[in-house]
Amino acid sequence: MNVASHPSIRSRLAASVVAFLLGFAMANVGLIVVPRPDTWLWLAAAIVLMVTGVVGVLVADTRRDVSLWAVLGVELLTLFTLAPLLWVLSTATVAEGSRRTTLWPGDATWSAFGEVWDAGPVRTAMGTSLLVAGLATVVAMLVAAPAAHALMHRDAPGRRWWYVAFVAALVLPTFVLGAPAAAQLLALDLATSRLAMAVPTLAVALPIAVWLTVRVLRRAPWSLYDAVRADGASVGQRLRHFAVPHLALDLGLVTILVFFWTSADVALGAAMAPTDDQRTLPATLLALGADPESSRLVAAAGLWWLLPLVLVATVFSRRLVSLLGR
Amino acid sequence: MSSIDVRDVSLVRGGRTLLESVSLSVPEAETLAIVGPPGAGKSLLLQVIVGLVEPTGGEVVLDERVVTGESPRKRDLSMMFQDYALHPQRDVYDNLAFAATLRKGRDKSALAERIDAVAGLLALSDVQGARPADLDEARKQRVAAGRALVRDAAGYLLDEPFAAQSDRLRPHVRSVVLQWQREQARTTILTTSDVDEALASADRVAVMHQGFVHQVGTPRELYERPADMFVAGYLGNPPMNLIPGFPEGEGVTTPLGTLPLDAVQRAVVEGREVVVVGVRPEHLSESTYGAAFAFHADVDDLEWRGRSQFAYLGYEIAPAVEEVLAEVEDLVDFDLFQSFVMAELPSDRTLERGARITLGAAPQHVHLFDPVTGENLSA
Repeated sequence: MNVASHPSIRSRLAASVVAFLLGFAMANVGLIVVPRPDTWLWLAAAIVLMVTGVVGVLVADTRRDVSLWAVLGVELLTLFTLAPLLWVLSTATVAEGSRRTTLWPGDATWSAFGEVWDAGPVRTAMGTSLLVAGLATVVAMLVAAPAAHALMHRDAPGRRWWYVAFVAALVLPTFVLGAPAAAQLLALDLATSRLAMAVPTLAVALPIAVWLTVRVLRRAPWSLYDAVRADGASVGQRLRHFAVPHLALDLGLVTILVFFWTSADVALGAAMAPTDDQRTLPATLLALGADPESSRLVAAAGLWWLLPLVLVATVFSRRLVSLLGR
Repeated sequence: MSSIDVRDVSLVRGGRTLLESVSLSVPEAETLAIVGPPGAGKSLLLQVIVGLVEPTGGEVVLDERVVTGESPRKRDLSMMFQDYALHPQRDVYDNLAFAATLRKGRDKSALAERIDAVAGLLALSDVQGARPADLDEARKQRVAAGRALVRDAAGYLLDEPFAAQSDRLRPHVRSVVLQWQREQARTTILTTSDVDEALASADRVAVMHQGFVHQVGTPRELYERPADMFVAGYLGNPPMNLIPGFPEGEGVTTPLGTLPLDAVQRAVVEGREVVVVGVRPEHLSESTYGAAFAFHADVDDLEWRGRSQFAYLGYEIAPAVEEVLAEVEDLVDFDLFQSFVMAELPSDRTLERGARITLGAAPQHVHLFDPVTGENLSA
């Protein structure tokens, strides 16, 4: 019997106590402070946590290979993910002219989801985001593919440092990389079109594109590529028999992720767009969000924008998890 | 059908020499086995020959045509990869057919017959519709071998082609693959870490270590006249006993006994302070009549193997000599020396641990090596 592989009784009991106390606290806050109908939401979450605590005590002395800390972690993660989403949905479904004060979307009206398409600034911003993020993504992927290949395969000196630089760029404030490009565009009087915003946006797109493409190339079966070459495959055949079945889907997925990542950046669009037309959707939503009357449109637009990402994540969930690492 | 020549090929990457002046010549329809420990550079050499890796020096010649710098497609060599390199999305039949379908002008019915023949030989007929993920390692490896054989290439390069086969099936798979190769009269280079396999399956054997080919020759040549200590220590199962000795007067004094030297041997060891005496376990016998090297020793341990038994006879080495031998082992990165001699004796001989026995080896079976260069002084 491998005792070490099972969580200890003490660990399970500690997790159970923490889960129960959290649930108990939520139930009290829900009953005393939170107005209805949100009380029921708080109570539901509290019951889940308290039941986890009770079940934890019951299974603490069994050989079940389950970590109660992990269960508690998943429950809290779900809570922290669903609560903001519910808040956005609740805001988007409020009737025009009224204000939502509860988390529960009662008396929901769905008109905002249609109105948002008629709202000029939002529609323009969506188009701008599509254009800017789309162009930046295409350029970034065209640069990232050979760059990642070089980082992976070539004996280039200091290639590890290049890779570290790309990954470090991911966590840099986007202003640091994007502002000089935007300043150059303004100085050269080239920042007149919406597409010009794609240049500073590359600062957001390129690092993530390189990082994800390196991950794809690292997972690729290069021995099979060598075998295809050794078999005498022409360049076209290598593309057809290796690149398409083994790289195309992952690179396509990376392209989609880079697009979403790039289009979600709010800082560049808000700070560097010279005109309103050049503002991307997040920047426009940021500006509209200041007006309480527009908050339902902002929320609806956000949910529309989220929809394709949810679809991609649902359809390619296994591949995404594998690509981004477990 | 073409001869394969590797002329003075070197490969240096990141300041590390991975292949060092490798020269090999494989005449048409001959089989060469490259044998060596893992990391010797065997697979890399095959990749250089097939054209996947460009050497930093030297040239690869196929049928007297220098092909260095040419693409693998132009070289027309069929290669089997050590990790099988199967297409996961294709079934066994398509994997077998893959390499053969890349060139135009193929005869489809002839190809189908060839696939059936190879699948039959490799016991894959029943799994032709299965995908690689559904196969065990042994079958995957046979599919990889089959893929190389189905293609009507000028030569075959097989990288560890039998390593995943079970001990029971391995000789059979080896036999059918080599039989196919002989029938097709294709020049073949195979790599293996299994010494017995190399000796049994190839017309000639190249012993490789640290990117360097130590010796090329027929299995008998390599076994009887190893060029250096590495070949002597690596080739043979169990390996050759290597015992340090000191030239003194008309012989070499070893921790076990004195090896008398003839005039020729005296000439080659003259001026050396230390030499290494080599004798294979199977060449030591209790009959010392006519033996060049005879000694008495206590049996420390015994291993009864059915057909024979191995007797282990320990001896002491002076610390100074041990240091020299350790330096030699560090240099070649291989465990050559032991503090015991191993003798393979008949299994019907009744022996006990602690018994004192007398062993001897015939003159032609005793080798003398230079401990620093490793060179066989008696070859």
